[in-house]
Amino acid sequence: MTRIWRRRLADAVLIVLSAAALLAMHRTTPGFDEKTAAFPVKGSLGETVNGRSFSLRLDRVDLATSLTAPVLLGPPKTYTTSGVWVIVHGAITSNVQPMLLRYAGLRTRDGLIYTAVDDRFHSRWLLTQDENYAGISRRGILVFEVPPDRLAGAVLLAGERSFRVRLDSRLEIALGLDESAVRARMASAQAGYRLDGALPQ
Amino acid sequence: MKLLYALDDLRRRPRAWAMSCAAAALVALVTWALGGFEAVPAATLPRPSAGSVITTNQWTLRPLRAWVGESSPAGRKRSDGSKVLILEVDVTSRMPATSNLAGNAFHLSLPGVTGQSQGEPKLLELLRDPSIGADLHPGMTERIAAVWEVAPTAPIPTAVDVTVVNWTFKRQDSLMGSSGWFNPTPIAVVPMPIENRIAPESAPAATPAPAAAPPVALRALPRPRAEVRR
Repeated sequence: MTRIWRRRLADAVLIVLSAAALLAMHRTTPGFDEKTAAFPVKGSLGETVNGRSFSLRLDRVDLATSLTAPVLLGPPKTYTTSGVWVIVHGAITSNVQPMLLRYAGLRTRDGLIYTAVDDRFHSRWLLTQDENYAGISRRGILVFEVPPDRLAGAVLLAGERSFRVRLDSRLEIALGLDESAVRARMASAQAGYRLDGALPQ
Repeated sequence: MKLLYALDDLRRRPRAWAMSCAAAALVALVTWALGGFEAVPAATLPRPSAGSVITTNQWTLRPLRAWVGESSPAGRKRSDGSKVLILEVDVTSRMPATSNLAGNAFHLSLPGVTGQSQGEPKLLELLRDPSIGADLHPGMTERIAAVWEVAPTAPIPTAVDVTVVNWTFKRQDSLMGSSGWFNPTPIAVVPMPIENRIAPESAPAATPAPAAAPPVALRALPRPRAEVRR
């Protein structure tokens, strides 16, 4: 092999290596979603979890096969589901200034996210519907609709921004439900769970 | 003359010519291998009938029936006498998170019908405990109503073609590197008969002749005037 051919071979190898490095960088460089992702703040049922702008404590999880909720005009309406209604009780406190809890979802073990249902019915207890003030704790509920077989291991996500929390803390609070707990709760799930009147105890 | 020059050049630089020809042949070969010489497939979309299951990247859809009525299933009624055109569909979300965008999967085209009866539905309603809006959760099948509006004077159509639109997920878009759904592409056209559920006493709009009358009369007006001026 002459010297010039050796040089050409080296060039070719260098080009292929550079292309491979470029491809690897393109595949592994984090995208906008990853760069601006939320900062997870983990916690569990019963403890107060502190985010940047608010703190949340979850107390109890109830399951129901149907809900009864007031509507603006007329008698209360019953809401059925093909899965199960998950009613999470808790208390929220703003840390700095008046804020709204605009994002709440349940993340299942397989990574699916079930966003809180809050526009189909009116209940003054929905934590996503009213403003929260600094230092004043407000008790209330979050309502989710989930297939029962996906409920075990679910984690509640909460953030101040709607849809996609970016560059802000997002609370991730484990509901502490395993398969046997879900089975037991499903057996005693209530029909016609009332979302109106006094906060369900 | 040029051919002679070329032949002369070929004699003088045979290797360069061989390389060029080889490169051209390689490009042609790759083009052929990627299907570049095949005919573009005909632009006819499949036409599944009502009741068949259509799977898009976002949803599994089963269009069931279409009807025109005075008010939507959740009780919405326009004060100007507009009718609603309802498409009932069983929808299962295939997306990883709750979404209210099922409307982007349907596209209507009703030639000659005015009002908001074109394009994507005006709103979605959940038919379980009828309520406005349809937040569809992953894997949970729901029957929804896609609602379009038909102007009060428009004739009530007897059939409609519903175009099913497929969107593609991009992990990183070209602008921000953010993930999202892009490139809507029609994948099927479902011909649906339209059932007329308008009560007979308000039927005038249902018969095409009186409905078509006002526009015709309006258009006819200037012509006699022009004749008079002449």
